[in-house]
Amino acid sequence: MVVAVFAGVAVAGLLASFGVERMLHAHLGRVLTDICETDARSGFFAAVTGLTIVLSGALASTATSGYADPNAVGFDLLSGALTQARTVMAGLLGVVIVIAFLLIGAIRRYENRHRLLAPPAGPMAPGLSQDASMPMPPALANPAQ
Amino acid sequence: MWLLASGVVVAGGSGVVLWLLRAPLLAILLEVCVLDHRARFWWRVSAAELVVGTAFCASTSLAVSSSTDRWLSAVAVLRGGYAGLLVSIAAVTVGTMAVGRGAQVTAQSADGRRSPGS
Repeated sequence: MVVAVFAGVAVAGLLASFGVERMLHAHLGRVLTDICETDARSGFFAAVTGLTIVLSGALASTATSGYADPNAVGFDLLSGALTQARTVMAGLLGVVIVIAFLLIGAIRRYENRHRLLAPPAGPMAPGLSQDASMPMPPALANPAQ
Repeated sequence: MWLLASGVVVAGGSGVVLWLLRAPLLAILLEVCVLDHRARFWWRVSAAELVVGTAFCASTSLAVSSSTDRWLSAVAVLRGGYAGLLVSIAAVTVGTMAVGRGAQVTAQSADGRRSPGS
């Protein structure tokens, strides 16, 4: 009975980690395409992130600390199953938080790099229209006239 | 029986991870190494590291486990295998990032040498 309950919760944990991965997959792909400069890099990091989420959920779902008694039934068995489910949720939460922090760091580095590469915004030279579509007055466009 | 089943699950898991990582890892290795045969060599190295690291962690977990129940020992093998997969993926990622950064620095310094005035 204990083994069956353990296996059931473990399979549910594995499905939950697949669900979290599927939920994040498309959005993560878009963010990584922005941050990484090439498709190869964004594809690799998307694959690594997905595998990390699924494997962390699978690892957390093998927690056996709640099943102290191998012949447990009733409330003890329920308590063990809840402890296992709690460990799965903590593992998934932890891996999502770690990925979020790593992404925040990467986004910050990406923005700093692009801020350094961008040309400085100086004052507009006289006679230059700010908007190319806006026609310039003839006196300003050709001052010799 | 339990141990055999958990060993099969761990081996299957590492096979699935290798299959999922193959295309993206080869693509990034080709970008970093430029030449195809170098990329394939490093892919083989990464695959060997992943398989051997997973097997090592699974066997270590079985050796460290003090449980007398067979199913608990099997779960310990599973746990060790998953942990080994995670550690191996992290090692491959860190190695690829370090090599990629090194290649980027080399390319930038080569550009600097080519156009010293810029």
